[in-house]
Amino acid sequence: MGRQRGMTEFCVLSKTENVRVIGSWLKEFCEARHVGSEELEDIIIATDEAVTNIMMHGYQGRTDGLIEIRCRVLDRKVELRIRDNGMTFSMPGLDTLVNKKREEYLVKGGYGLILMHRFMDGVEFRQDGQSGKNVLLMHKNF
Amino acid sequence: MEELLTKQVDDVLIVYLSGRLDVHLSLEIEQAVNELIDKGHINLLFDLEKVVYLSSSGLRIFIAAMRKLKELNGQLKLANLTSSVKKIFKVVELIDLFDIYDSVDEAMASFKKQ
Repeated sequence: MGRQRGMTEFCVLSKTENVRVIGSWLKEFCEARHVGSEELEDIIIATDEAVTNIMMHGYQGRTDGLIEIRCRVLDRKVELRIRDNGMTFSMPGLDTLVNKKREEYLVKGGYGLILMHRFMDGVEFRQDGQSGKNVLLMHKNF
Repeated sequence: MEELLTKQVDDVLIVYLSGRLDVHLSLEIEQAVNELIDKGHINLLFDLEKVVYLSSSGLRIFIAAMRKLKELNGQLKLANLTSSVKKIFKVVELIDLFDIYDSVDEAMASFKKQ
């Protein structure tokens, strides 16, 4: 698993202005633990996309939803756990996403999911059996 | 939101975007661009020199504009993308769908050729 260099948790309301707050927080935390700038850029975008999906689809634009983010920096890996109480929405795997025709994307979107899958080395969606919360796990190796 | 910063050069409207194009402001910007197109501006050049961050929400601005302009036989071009912004277009494989130039001058010249 690797030695843990640090862990932090953050909780924000589902207001869209908080997307940049999360990015700044992640940047500061990860830079202090020597995560490379290119990997960090990818992590911030992927987190942005995940949180945006929660705000727009999980909480359907409501601004009073809670989004919990935990970030762990290990020796060679950054792990993120994002939890929310919003509606569960289906998240297709990368194979399904890339097999969509371009025209479908242009009409329906879905680029956020592509960015998450391509920028991170692992993206996994679960539901917490006890709390019922949606749990998104992502990690990036560096 | 404030009006978009624009400059008319011949029959091309240059639109200057800046800052972060993420979910927070992208919808308003998309609507503002729609209004420009509705007012008859069908040749748009987006100067993205000052755009420091682009997520998929920001991409929607250009995708929506491109779809609308296509119906009107208009043109859309992008110029001065930073490497991180260009990376987003590449990763979602849209780099070849848009006319992207290294400078406004090059983009303007391409309008004249077409």
